Amino acid sequence: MSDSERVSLVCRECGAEYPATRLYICKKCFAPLDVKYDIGRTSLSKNTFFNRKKTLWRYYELLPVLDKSKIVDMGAGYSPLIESERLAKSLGLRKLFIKNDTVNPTCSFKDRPSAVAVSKALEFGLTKIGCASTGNLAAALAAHAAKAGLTCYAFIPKDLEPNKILQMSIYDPEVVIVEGTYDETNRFAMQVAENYGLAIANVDLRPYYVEGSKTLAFEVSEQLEWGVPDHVIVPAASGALYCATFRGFKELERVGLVKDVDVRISLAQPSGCSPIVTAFKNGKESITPINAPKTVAKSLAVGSPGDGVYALRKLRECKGFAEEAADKEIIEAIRLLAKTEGIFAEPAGGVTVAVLKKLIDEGKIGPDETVVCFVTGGGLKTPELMVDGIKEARHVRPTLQSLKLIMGGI
Amino acid sequence: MVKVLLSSVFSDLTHGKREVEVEADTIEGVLNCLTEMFGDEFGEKILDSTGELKWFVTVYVNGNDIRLLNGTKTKVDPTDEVLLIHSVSGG
Repeated sequence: MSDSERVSLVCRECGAEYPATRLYICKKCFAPLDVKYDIGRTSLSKNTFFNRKKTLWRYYELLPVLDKSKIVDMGAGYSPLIESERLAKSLGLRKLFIKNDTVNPTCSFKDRPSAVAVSKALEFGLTKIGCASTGNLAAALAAHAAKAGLTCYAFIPKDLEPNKILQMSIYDPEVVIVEGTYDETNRFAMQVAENYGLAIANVDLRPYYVEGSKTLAFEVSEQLEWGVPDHVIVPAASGALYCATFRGFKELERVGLVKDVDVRISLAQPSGCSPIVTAFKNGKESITPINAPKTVAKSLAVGSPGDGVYALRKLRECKGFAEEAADKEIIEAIRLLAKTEGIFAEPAGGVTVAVLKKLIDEGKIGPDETVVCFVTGGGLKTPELMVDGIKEARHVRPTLQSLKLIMGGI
Repeated sequence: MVKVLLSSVFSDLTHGKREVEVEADTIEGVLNCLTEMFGDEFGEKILDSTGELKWFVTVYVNGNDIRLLNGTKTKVDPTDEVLLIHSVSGG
């Protein structure tokens, strides 16, 4: 079998199949397309990965890039899965792991889908790539595009955090600030793509782009010696990461690396933008969008989640929960994670810890469950949120007297 | 006449047309006009069996999502601009 036969596209709704081109919507029914792998002919065992690079590309056979010479590898992925005993004890859990994606090249999980999107763009012979972003994707895509020598366009809504704008800008993309919400920015980017042919990673390269995110599930399983936890908590903006996580675990089962995947995957959103949580709690199958999201968790401020309907279906299939956390709870959770485990997360990371706490307090997660919490972005992206409430540093003169005072305090 | 902008993803159905004008009072009326203009296949592909828009088709009136207005019963005026796009948002 040639490698080109390994990957195709399949419609989520009607099952129609297509070759792996730049198509992203089914021609028959207009539903979104996913990547499909000819897994029956893929021979994978636990030994396959033994000596491979510790990046997301170790799972090459389950990623959609066919030409290995086009792979852009900045070291994204294979982030630490950290057993978090102090946080577990604080929350009342026996076993808790943090999947720490703050350590990726641009400090968020978005390096994963960006690596795949840019590699695929090279494979398609493209010289430009863009995205609509709340910040993390723009930085990740711009960095990977810089590495690959592609021109990058980052469409972002106004009012993004200054550090995020600085970070994305340093890689020298064209940054376009749209006077509107993220959803308006996304619509604008779609129209740019339609009218100017620019490939937008999270629009028309979306089937390939999103495959990078499922590697979080692959890694969690591999790092648990090809097991699965009882419960995973995933933050949600569009629902793409949630759906990718679900798919990642199921794919491991299909290729025979893990038997009987029975993992609950719960979804966490900020209260100021929780359309998926609201729909889930109301027993709905469709999403009512949020017109003007208002939350400190700006990376999750997607009022019209493109994968929201699918996230609802997967939530019900795996019997996960959907819960929200208020801004105050998110900030407290960021502090708790930092002071118990030494991990400084941005609000998207605080959301998962805050929601985990709620689910434990409500008895929905038992104390004996093994839980993995995704922390998807680093705290230095949003430092302004944490300035209040930080213990004040002491100022001393460099004298023995000062030393005695300080040592006396210590 | 209401101006209707159509995403290029629907080009196969709209014979490549990206902008049309129709006479209608509501979004439901707009969709009926488009079906009449482009054929039953257009309606079959963007509407579900109950006559509502499939979830992955989003309609805006002057930039406002109709799901936050009155759905397909949302009223439109001749000066309004209606946009039909595919719902792909976030990542």
